[in-house]
Amino acid sequence: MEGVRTMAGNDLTFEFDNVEKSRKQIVKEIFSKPFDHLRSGISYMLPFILIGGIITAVSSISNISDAPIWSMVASIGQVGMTFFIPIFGAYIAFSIADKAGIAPGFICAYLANTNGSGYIGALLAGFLVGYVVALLKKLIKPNKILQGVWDYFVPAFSTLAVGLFIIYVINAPVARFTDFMVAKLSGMDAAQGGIAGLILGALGGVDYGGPISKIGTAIMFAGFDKGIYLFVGIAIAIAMVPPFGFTAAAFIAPKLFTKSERRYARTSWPIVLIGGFTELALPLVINDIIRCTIASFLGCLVSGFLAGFFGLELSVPALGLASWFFISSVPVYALCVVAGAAVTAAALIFLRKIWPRKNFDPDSDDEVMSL
Amino acid sequence: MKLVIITSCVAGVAHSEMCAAALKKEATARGHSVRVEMQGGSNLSDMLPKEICQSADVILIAYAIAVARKERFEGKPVVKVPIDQAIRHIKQVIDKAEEVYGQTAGSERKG
Repeated sequence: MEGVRTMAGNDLTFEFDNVEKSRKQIVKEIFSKPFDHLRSGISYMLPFILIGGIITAVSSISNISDAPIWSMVASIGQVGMTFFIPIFGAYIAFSIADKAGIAPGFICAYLANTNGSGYIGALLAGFLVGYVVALLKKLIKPNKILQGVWDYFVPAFSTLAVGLFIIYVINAPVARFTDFMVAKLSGMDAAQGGIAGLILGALGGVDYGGPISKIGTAIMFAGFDKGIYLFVGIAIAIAMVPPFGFTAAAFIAPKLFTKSERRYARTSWPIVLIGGFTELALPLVINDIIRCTIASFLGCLVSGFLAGFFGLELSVPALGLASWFFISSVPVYALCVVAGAAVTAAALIFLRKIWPRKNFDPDSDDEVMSL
Repeated sequence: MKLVIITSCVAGVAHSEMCAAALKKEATARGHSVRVEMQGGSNLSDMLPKEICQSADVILIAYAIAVARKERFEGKPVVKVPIDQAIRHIKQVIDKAEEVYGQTAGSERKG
């Protein structure tokens, strides 16, 4: 079996494990698909941010109450917020080098972060130490007796080597770059904010919480780490737009949707408002990918632009209902979401009217993939 | 064919479940026996034990992030495909799993 094969004519790529691989293939595989590693890091760090963020937000009750418990609550939340960065690095390395990468990734990302290179330094650390561990483990296979020693030695050695490299070589320039970016991004005026909103809207509006939108998420977290809350505000304004817009379109122009799609819209709109995550749009997208994606893209551009232009900020990364409590401006938030959803709904309805769906049967009760 | 399906996505709320359900439906319709594990998010309830994975013929993984607990698949034929591709080409993905099964079953018979 080949290592990687692309099916002719469409974009399916398969990979195979537990097959014989040449050294060249092994190396190639280690360095391939860096975005998988980035996404793994994000996936594992999310609970730390969400839990730390919500608990910290709860502790803000200390503004109206003097009880000492609230500062305890704040310090609990702080732990989550402190450690999401080393965990980020740990699981980038895990994605590259499996379990052997976790501790090296954690330690090296922690070193990078505490020495000023922040999120970007942690990202670099995770990748770097992950690659070193993976290469050493997969390319050098000693005999059975020494294998145990090697398994123990590789992560320790990698952590030390990469750790020193980070301290002496990486930290200073990355810290300078980070400070420069933070300075630029903290003082954005309305126009610059609008542009940032357009970019994040474009990233977030095309794949419903998939890999491309996760790039926007990574940018958002990098900013969040340094106290830039504008990107979080923009991201939250965008997130609800596609599902809200499609659901609204299903109510406004039901004849353009199949029976099962209408049923999904009817039953899912409470979850859309409470949960607020973009993936909820997927069942309505699956049977009409092109038109839905165009509509979603346009709506997210609008919502993102407005959020950036008006400087919408969110200091706690909470989705859905919770976000309304922490958002910097409820009217602006509402404006962005409604405007974006309106554009999405209008675009979808317009597209379906001038370019009807093939084999479309409004009474079709084919099971829509539900969440 | 005894199939183990693993789906793994970033937040574990949507892509994992949808893709797993669709793959299971197609494979079951073709007469295969299927066990499914959805990773991502904080789900621990449907973790498949090692014995199930080792007794499968093919392990099919649709992923967006690294797959956890890969040690369970040691020695088994594993087919991996990105989850956003899989969702749009369910039939071809099961085709590929069947193809791999045919190849490994064939070489086992020879050996």
